[in-house]
Amino acid sequence: MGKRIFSILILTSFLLVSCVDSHRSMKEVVFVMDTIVTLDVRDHANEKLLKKMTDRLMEIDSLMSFSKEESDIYQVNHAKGESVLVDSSTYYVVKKAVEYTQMSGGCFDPSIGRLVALWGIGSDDEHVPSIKEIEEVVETIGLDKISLSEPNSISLMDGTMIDVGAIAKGFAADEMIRIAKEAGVESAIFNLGGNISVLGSKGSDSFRIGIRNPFSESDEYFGIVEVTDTSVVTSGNYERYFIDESGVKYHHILDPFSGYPADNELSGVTVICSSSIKADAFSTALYVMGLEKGLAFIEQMDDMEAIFVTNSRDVYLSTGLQTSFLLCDDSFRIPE
Amino acid sequence: MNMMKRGDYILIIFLLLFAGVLFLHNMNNIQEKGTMVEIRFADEDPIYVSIDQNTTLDLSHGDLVNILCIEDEKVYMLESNCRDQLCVRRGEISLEGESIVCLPHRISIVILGTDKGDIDALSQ
Amino acid sequence: MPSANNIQRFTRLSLFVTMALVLSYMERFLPILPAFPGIKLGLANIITFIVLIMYSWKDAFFVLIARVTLLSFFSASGISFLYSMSGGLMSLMAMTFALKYLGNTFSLIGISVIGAFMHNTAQMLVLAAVLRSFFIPLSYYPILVLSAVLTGILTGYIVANLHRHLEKLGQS
Repeated sequence: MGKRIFSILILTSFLLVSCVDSHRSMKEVVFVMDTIVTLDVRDHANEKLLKKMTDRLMEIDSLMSFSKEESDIYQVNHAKGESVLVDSSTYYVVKKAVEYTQMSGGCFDPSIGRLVALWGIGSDDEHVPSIKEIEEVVETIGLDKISLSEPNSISLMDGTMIDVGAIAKGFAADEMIRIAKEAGVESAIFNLGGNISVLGSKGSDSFRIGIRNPFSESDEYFGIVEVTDTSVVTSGNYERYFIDESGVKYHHILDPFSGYPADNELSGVTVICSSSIKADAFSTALYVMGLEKGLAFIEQMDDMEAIFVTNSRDVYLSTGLQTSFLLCDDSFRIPE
Repeated sequence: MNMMKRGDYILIIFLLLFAGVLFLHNMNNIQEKGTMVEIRFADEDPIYVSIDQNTTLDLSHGDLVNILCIEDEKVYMLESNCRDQLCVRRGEISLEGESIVCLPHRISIVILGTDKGDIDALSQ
Repeated sequence: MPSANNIQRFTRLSLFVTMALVLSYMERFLPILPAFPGIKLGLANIITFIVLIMYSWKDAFFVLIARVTLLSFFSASGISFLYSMSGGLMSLMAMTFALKYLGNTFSLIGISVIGAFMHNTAQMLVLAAVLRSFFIPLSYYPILVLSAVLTGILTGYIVANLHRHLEKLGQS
């Protein structure tokens, strides 16, 4: 790669084509929203722009964190049924979450806050809850427990909690794209803990995004998608999980209906969609749906594409991806 | 022969060195057996095919006929109805960086390696 | 009324165009190197160059345009026309410039090499534009530069000798 750039450099200098400062690129790595965020602005970059972006990330984190007491979401979750006035960004995210819950038939649902807290996967307190506990908490899940009223008021039924942690990252990615576009940036790539959003392309080439091998302990990938102006989000059972004394693995993608980690043939689902918040919600929703229902669902959506990986290393692609997906690991296969 | 001037020799040596440097630099990319075949038609997005499958690809667009074969990790243009037939006469390619071009039909085929560091980001 | 001069010029140019066409056409029957598609001797450039030396760049320009255009009628697609034309024009420009300002530094052979180099460089750029990629053109480029040196020396040598004989003929 570097060699190719080097040779193009020789060529351009040879042809006396000069560069202008709008080509200035900058890269920044920050730890925010409990994850590592890489901002790579490939043109029109400056300190002010990068500062604006990181400030916005912190702001979104402080509005939508599940655990921070000053956050909008914490306030809403602890209002005991009272209506809470929230920031317009929080309202937008919750409204979108409700919309995606309806679209996905409840497979993605933000009102699983108490279920997430009960399992505590990824926290110090991860454990398998009792059947009774789970049954009780599943009762608190459902769209009918959330009411939104314009402008910017949210109230929950007492006992229900919402968790928008997953899609807040997608929202943040969309915001990064918006801010970059407003500053005249033509090419950028943002990585919010594995949620990738790209703006424009790399000169004449597309961005190449690796899709994580769900069976590998390290950052290996089994395939590559070539994309421009879109977002690539993957949900998998390898991200956060724990294994109990009897050797059973419990991962973090919880099924809102059963109250247990979604248990089907899938190891990972990747969604490609120009809206990152949508890609975020549906990578979870499709995982919960399972392979058959998920594939049928994605084929009906014309603004989203998806990659499904099963436990037996079979890779299923939605029709729009057939030409832009590149399998590069022999141990996986694409069934006919 | 006394026709040539000193400037000529300098120019020729300079150009030969220039070609040599570029060639050596390109050689770094060529050598290893490739794993992927990138096929481009005009401005369309490229198509990728693994080199280890034996297959025949029909790249024809309308009246422009091109048949590409991938066989025993070698790639060659079996048939083309282009004027110059350079793509067919190019013969077999198999190494990373080698290419077949059918200029009249605006088709180009390049063999790629799988450089593991070749992605811009990992979605996980 | 066309002057005798004009008629003479027109006849002369037609003759050169014909010779260039014949050389271009003949070249197709020479064996090609399959590993290096697109590498040609460029014999027709002999004519362009000799016209440039003995007459003017305008005449050479006319011969070049006429040759490439006519040749495209009985062969080749739009792209190879673009390919030949860009190479020819770039080469002519470079040689005109070199002949005028660098005549003391380079002999006809050197100037021919400059022309061939610019010819192949222009073709590489057209290839890059057509394929929307620098990768393939760049991997060909060293070979193109090498072949430009060799064919440039060859055509330069032929032109220099031709020129010498023609001058002698003119004097006697």
